[in-house]
Amino acid sequence: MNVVIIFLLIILTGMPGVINAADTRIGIVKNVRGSAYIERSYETIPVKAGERLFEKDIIITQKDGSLGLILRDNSLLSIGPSSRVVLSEFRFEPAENNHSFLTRIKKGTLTYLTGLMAKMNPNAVKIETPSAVCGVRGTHIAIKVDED
Amino acid sequence: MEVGVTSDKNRKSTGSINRFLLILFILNLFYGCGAKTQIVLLPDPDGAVGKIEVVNPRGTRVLDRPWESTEVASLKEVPGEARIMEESEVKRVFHEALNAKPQPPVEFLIYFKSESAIPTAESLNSIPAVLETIKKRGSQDISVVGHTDSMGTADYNLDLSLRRAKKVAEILQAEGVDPAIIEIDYFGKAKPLIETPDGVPEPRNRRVEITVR
Repeated sequence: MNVVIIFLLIILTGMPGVINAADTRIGIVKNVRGSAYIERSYETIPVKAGERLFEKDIIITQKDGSLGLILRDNSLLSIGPSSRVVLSEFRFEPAENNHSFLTRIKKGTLTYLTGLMAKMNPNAVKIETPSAVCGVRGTHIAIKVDED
Repeated sequence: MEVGVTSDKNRKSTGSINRFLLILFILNLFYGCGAKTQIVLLPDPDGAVGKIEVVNPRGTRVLDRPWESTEVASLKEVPGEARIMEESEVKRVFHEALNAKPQPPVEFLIYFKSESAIPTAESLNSIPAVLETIKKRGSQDISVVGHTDSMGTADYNLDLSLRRAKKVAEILQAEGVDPAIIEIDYFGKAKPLIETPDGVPEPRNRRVEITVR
């Protein structure tokens, strides 16, 4: 009997972690125009709407490309042409109050509208450019990085 | 797995602005002084205005007025004086990126009677609107997240919130939504919509949140 109770407790308390570990997608591509790619594990994949996003994905657009993403905290990231943007780190774990989002823009343009994460922790969202770091306490930001 | 999570958290809690300055310093060594960056604070779609801190090793610039912008020439220069940009200029410079911004996700709440995983009849009336939204947005990413009020033990509520989320996912699936695009999560009584002391019945917390992205 005791064994059964312990087993149930393990299942009940352990499962949220299991689900999070099994599914680490951080968002989805909602719309794409022109040529856009994701660099993931040294592979370059052309992007379509519905493509799932993961930590460390690098998003690349050509001169005619742009795309819009929705991240798991309901924040909205859109990327303009001739851009290179790295989704370096994304942690959204409301059960543990563990939040962080770090994006790096190497070149090009982006706009970002914060979501639940910035509401829960105003220090959680950072966008890094080649010449500064932006702490985004809220809520709507646009960044342009010239090519070196 | 617990150990990994804990140590990861500890490592993250040390992350501060200093860490970013260090990253910038290293980037500086590799890439020289960094390309020119322009940063603009836009008003929210609802008109509210947030706040951005622009930091590099030479200084900090705070943007907190609508359309306020700064230019940062390089890592070796202080972020430039803030200036208010014309809305038309912002729309010109960021035209394509702004046009690519997706519509914000849409959220629905499904409510439950005490200790039940069957949605209230009234809540079920909003299912057609959920389906309509999924169709209209061409959504391929739906979250179904279960919650409870604070009556009962944490374990009981965790299980109840999971059953509620599963029930709503089943209803969507029965209406033709691809289960592969539905993601289930559950928090028991840990994330109330309305804060209450423990052991208080609160119908507004007995809910499943559906987010259509």
